[in-house]
Amino acid sequence: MEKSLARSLEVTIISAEDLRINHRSIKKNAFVTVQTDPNNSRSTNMDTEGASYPSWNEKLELALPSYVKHIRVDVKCKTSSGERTIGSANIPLTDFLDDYIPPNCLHFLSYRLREHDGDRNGIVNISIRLNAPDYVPRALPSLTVQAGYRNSNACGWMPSSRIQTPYNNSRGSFAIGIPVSKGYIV
Amino acid sequence: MGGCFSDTRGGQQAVGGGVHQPTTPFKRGDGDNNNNNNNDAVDMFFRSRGITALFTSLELSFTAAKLRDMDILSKSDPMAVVYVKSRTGTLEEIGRTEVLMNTLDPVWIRKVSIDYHFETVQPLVFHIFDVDTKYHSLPAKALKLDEQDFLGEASCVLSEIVTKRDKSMTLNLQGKNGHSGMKRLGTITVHAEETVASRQAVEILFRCSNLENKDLFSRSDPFLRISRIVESGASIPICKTEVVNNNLNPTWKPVSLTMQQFGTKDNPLIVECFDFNSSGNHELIGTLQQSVADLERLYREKSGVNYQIPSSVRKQHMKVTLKGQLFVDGFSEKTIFSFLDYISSGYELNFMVAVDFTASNGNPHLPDSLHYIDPSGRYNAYQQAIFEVGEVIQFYDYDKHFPAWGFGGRTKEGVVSHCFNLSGSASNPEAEGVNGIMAAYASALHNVALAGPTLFGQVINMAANIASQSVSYNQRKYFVLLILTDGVLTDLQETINSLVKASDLPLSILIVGVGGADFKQMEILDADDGKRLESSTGRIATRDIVQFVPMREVQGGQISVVQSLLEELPTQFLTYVRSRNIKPLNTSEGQTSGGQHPVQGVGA
Repeated sequence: MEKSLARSLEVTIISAEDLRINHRSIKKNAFVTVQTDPNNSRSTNMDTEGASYPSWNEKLELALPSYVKHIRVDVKCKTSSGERTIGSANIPLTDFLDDYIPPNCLHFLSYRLREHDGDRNGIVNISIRLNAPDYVPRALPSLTVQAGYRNSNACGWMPSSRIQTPYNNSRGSFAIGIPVSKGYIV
Repeated sequence: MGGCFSDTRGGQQAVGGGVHQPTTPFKRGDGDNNNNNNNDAVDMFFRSRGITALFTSLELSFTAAKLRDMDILSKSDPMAVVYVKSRTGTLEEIGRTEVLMNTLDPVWIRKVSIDYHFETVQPLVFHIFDVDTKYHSLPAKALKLDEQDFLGEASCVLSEIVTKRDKSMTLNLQGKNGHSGMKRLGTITVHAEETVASRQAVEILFRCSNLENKDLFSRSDPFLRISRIVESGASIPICKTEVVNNNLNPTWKPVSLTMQQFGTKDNPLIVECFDFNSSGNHELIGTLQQSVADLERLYREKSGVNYQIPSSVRKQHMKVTLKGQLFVDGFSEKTIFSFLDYISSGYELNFMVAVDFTASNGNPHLPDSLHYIDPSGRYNAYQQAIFEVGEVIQFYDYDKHFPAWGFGGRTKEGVVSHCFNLSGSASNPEAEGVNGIMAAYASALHNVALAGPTLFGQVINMAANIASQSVSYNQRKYFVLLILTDGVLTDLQETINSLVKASDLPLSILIVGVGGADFKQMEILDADDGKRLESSTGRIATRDIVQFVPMREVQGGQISVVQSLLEELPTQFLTYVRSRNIKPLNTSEGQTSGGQHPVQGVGA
């Protein structure tokens, strides 16, 4: 099972803001569908309390086929006339694969939602982490550090030794693990 | 917990329990409406805007060792007096300890309170006196200091104390006016402690069953209100849940109560259940009294407790027990850490500077140039901003090596660079200390020709790279980039794109506008109107990382605008660490190599 999911995404749908249908704030029943390709799609539950500012905090795991360049997030709403798509965001993989911090770190991302005719709608807030045991990141366009991703686990727990970087030349530098494994613990 | 009482967003939302709301230790008092236009979604990002009064109360306690012996037949009778030193050098007393009898190694009991302000440098001076026996009947406050024997003085800056791992600092005592002579005058140790009652909070998930129906055509719309009983017997509401519509067996979102709110675990709380009425005239469904300890027991035993209701308005004490019950489906304790908890456990703020070298500043050799360095030593606006911000932040940066760049200048190589090292070195951008930045800036003015255009992108990307490396290595650092500029950005959208991308990093950007140009663009970057920055691809900043002030406001005013620039930093820092659930380091994990900050247990 683990091996067949060589590359997968951990997408946490946190919340959305200012959702509207025909310029009117929605009342309830918003949910989010994420898909990496037509065969890999997951949805959250419906939010019943947040009205046009729903929150879900649901973690969805999706396979990430190698040819995929974008993932699609659709914010939808169940109304009396059926399901309607409020707005969508196309997230380029580069936003978290080529970001400043390694892809296996938790990335907090927010996107403007667009309606199918291109009109602006609300905002969706998510966090994404790549699960890829053998992921080799591109070289950092860094100042002096070449050993950038030597410890592929750097964003997980506790590299056991101190690692030198150009900006910790002497005292007070720590290489202590920061538990960034979870998004919001309240 | 702020916002618990904010009656906004149509009544029902108003009662929101506010679990995800940031509890900032810099906020004085509860119930301020700082999230009135916000919502759970935004709260998720712990955006805590509009918080004023960014300060923390500290208590200073003192011990001294090896004091000079002034009395002939016995040892000295010491007392410590604490002063704040103003910018002009005058001393203002903020408190004194009691007089201890006959000791050269006093451990004073009485503490001295001081408000810690992140954004200012707060120099402190400590004087120790030997109080003559004939004055011992007088209270310490009434003692005239010029009649006492002076045992020594010491001084430091408050930030130096709070950045120490155990928030303690030992200083050598000196004679009057800094003359120590040959004699050893002993030492004084100052310890700072936050006066928050506790960092503890509990999160409780409430559920009710079989509530009475109060509505005619539908079921009740219940919500809970929790109040604390104070000594006088009155009750003070501390929290409300959201309204669950049309439900007699409701479950609410978790409610978070801080120790400041509920007092002790045994302090009785009143948990009232109301039927929401849009007129505001909510009808009481039932009431009951339970302490936090009781609620915890309910959770463990999975048992419910019955609601009661006064049998009539007149006989308040006669209660009828109802069928409706309250259950606790979740109970957890958590700790809310303050800015100082992180700082004193070894989290650093690393300072970086970028200076505008575009031609619009004017020829640096002419006095009307913004870059003119006055031979009299009077600072130009750039120097003033570097100095004022650097002076505050340097205490939070252990090695005091500050990367310093310029942008928009033509370097010796003859090309216009949008990120060059002020030091002139090709590889090392760092300057040592604030004075090092000043020197590098002055030398760069000689070696770099002013050019243009004004582009921030490269400087921001450079800072973001440094910050991201720190994240990759799990370092406990937060970065502060100070950008000083005189003018209008050529690459506004590109700058926004860089900022949006950097908003996920441990980085804050302070922009100071120098000169009289129109800084409308900077206000856009600042995003203080609540609009989040949006990149050209539709990606949106996850949090606000930019602060802007025009320097012209700095001059003249009593309180420096640079301070207002720095004021929000602790909040931005907390937003970052809390959203990632980063905890302060405690105890032995944080091994430093220098020994300047010995590892000690931090009571976090």
